[in-house]
Amino acid sequence: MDKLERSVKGVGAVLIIPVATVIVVLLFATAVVLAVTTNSMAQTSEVVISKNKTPELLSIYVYEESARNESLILVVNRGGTLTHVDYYTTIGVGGGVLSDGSTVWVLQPGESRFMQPSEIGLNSSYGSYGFFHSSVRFIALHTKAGGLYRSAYATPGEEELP
Amino acid sequence: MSEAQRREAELQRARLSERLTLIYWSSDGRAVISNDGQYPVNVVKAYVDSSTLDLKVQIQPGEKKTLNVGTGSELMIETESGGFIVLRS
Repeated sequence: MDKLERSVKGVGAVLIIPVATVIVVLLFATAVVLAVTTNSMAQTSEVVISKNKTPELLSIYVYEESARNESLILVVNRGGTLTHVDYYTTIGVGGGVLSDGSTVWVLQPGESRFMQPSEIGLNSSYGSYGFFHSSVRFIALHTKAGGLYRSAYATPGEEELP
Repeated sequence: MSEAQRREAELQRARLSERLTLIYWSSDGRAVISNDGQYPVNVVKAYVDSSTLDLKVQIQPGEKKTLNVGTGSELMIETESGGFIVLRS
């Protein structure tokens, strides 16, 4: 009986090694599968993020520098992409084209810059806000990507100033 | 390739390269349209809502032309190459 018990213990000890090996191999395989799955999920979310990247968006503010009654034109790139402005058109209050021309302005995401009326083909009279407001309906900026953005008579927020 | 096929291929190429942008459509019916493509575009018709207007205007690359198309809410342009460009819908 004692011999039999010792024999059973021996068989148990012999069985533990392959069973433990199988468990270790299974754990390793699970870890590998998890690592591959996580990596693939991370790649998928990167693709989703790049697809959902903030699109092109320009805001064009025309407002008055009150102390000097001066026209201020501020262009803010509120989108998440580098934006190339390829032409501008200024429409008068009567609906006609006041000025138009080609440009090569490039705005980084988050960048804002002031424009002079002369940069959009308007003479120095438009430097006066009263004159600008009574003559210009809006400024339109066209981008290389095909976007068209119109100005608004509004004051930008502090965070949008350069 | 026959002459007709060659002509059709040229027209298709022209249609694909036509890029028009509506910059402004005023309340008195004037539409400021820009040719953003690389080739001249010959405008032959304007469709405003349910009415059709015959036109014969060439817009050079980079040029902005003001066309009297009348007032409405939808605007589509037909070009000589047979292309239809929806400018406002």
